[in-house]
Amino acid sequence: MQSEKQKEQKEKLDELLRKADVRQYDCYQCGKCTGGCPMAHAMDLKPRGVMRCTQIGSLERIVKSNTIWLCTGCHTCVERCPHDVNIPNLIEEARYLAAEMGYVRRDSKILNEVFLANIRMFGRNHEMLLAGLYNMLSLKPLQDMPTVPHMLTHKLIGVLPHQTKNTAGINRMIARAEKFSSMRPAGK
Amino acid sequence: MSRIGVFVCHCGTNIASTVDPERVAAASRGIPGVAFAAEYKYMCSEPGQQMIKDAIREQKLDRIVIASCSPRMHEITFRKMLKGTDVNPYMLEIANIREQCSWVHTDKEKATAKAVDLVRMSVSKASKNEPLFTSTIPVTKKALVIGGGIAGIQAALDIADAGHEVTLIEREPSIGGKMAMLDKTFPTLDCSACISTPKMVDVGAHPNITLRTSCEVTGVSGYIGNFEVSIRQKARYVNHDVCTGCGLCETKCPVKVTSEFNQGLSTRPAIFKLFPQAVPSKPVIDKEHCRKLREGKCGICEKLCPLGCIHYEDEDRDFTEPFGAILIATGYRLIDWGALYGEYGGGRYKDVLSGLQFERTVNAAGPTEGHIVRPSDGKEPETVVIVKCVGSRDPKKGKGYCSRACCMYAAKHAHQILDKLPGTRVFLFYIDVRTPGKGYEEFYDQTRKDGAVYVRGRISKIYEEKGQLICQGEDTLLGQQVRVRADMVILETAMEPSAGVEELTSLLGVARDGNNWVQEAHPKLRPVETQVGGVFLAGACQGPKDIPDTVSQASAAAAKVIGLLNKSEMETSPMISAVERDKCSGCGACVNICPYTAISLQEIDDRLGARRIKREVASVNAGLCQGCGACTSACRTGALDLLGFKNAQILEEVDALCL
Repeated sequence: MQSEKQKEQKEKLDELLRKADVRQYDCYQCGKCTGGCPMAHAMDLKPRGVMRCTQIGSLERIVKSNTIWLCTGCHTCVERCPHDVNIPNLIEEARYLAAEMGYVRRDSKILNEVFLANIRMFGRNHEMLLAGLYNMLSLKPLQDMPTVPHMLTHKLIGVLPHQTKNTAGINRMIARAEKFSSMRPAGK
Repeated sequence: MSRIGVFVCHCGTNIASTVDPERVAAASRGIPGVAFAAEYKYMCSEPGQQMIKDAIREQKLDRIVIASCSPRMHEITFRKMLKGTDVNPYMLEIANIREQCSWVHTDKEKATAKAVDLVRMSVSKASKNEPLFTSTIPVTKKALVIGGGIAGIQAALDIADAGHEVTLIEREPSIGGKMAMLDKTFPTLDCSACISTPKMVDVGAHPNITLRTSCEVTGVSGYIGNFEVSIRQKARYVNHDVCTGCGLCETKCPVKVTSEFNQGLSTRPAIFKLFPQAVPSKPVIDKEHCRKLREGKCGICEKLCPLGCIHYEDEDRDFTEPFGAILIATGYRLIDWGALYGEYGGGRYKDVLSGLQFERTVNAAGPTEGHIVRPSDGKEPETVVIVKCVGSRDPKKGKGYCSRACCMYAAKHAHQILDKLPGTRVFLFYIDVRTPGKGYEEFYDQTRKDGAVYVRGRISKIYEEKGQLICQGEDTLLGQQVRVRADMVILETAMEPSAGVEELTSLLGVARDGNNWVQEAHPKLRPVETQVGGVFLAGACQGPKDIPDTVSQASAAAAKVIGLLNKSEMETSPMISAVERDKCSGCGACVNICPYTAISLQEIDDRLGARRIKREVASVNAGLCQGCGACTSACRTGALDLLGFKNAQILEEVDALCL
């Protein structure tokens, strides 16, 4: 017998897969996605593991993982996948679900808010400010310090912000996007 | 009024447990046209058949309906029985009350009622049946084998040994196919050349085999037992009747061309033998690259040849020959992985080899004389990565199917590396290891024990760094990303059908499956036949196969060919399409729809009022028509009818059920 909780999980998982347009049994666990994933080293659940969880019906492990917040959406995995399994789509949908279920990690939420505030201010991201604010608010103020000299000397990061020409337009876009519930930023 | 006899079979309890045969027989007696009805435990048995024969004689029956199993099962049995009676074998109808009634129902009342309905339908159809007569067609006692790989070689030898003439054609200048390129064969590791070249020599020397290399099929007409095949002999520019194969001509040729036999790992001259053990052991000129043929200057080989065999004026010759049977053995090629897999370097890295390139490398007759070295710098590799399923099991970029032989030859490659270069590290990246075959699992097991490291996971990316190839993937059993610094990478690429198989199968009217492999008539019960009578298949043209399976299939197909050629003439089924010329408008819709190219338009003399005219009507070739009936439904005027299944007969059946 399946418990109520299991049934509910299964329904949610099916819904998630449907929204993401992913069929879990397309995946035969070859690992080509994970092999080429630029973020896999930091993920607690590798991309192949995400697909494995969809197959064994473990929604909880997906929404609680740091994977869904680390995925950069580069689509390298889909590009190489022999069965065209769209893992980034699945992860994107899983983010909404995680937010709904209250599994958004505090630091992810902070990053999201800082990032959006950044965009609202300059119309584009100011990396120095993003890193600074994020590290302060997440109570790890010194975590990126060792890389700063390298980043600065190699011009990978700038001290001064760049302002886009039409910041107001960008803000209108954000406001509009927020109106659509399906496009709401995670964590709100 | 026809006198129809109805015979209801119990089939032991198969029918009788769900259908009441006595009631079916009793109900049959009330159907108009039925003169006699009886039931029996086993109609197909000797006493059952005798009962029918007696009834025909005593009751003067002229049509028979047997309510029993599927016609596929016993229609032939009962037709044979009728041959000894006054009733024509095609005045028989089978009402299938087993597969389509007793086996699929549980309610005896309803099943019995349905059985009665089925019998009534068959009786109605039988009342419209007409006697049909089989005809015979002569058989040309000669077989054509297309493709000179190990499948074609084996089949040609088997047919020839049985005493029939065989023509083996091969488009390359030599027979031997892929097997001639290989170094060793799994799982026994016997040398490929040592077991295949003697067979090649046998083909060249067999009195019943005509070997035609550098030849291609350009046209096929006719039908089972009577094919006419057009063959193009491509210009070889060397008179093979005189040439002794001394090889002097090759020595001074100034042209260097990438060697196709060595998979691009070495060069060859423009006048060349495909490989030293080629059969026929005589050179040809590659007209694409020969300086004399391209620019008119050179002619060195002509000067060198002591026998004057070189003829630059040689041209392609076309000829036509009759054959009774055709065997397709066109084999496979490897997919062009470079065009598909950018993440593996797309062919940019010299030390990423295909499986066949590695076979040439490790082959004692290959470009490195069997020394395993990197093509880039000639150094022995210290770490080798073997990647399986490149193009196989990859519906997005390559093929969805498993290429079947790669698991085994990957293990063989690993074994060969560990054997020739002890201390080398060999990593095999796999998704699944599939070793179904005699001695195969043991071979895989031994390779692992030899020290080959199997890593479960598909390689995601290969890139070059400081002269080494970094292979990045996941060890899915550990759940970790792994990077291997390799000196050489071997990609075990997927098999796909040979180039030109589309054209050849179109000429023959043979179907291909979704992946372009030649389609067998039935995957289990007719695996070496095609749906075109008299056309057979063997080897990897039907699907990826290893050598043992290919050879078995070739011998099986040869047996089928021998069976056909042993007949001096063969019976054709009379249940084929027939044209009512008066109704035919000559529109040609049937010509296009016929899957067996059995219908053509024929000009006839006719009258239009008082005028004599000529017009075209459809004409059915009795040898080619398989009685599928596609033309009858395409015919707009109803001029075409399938004998034995005429529209009138089928309508009669429908009426019997519905009116």
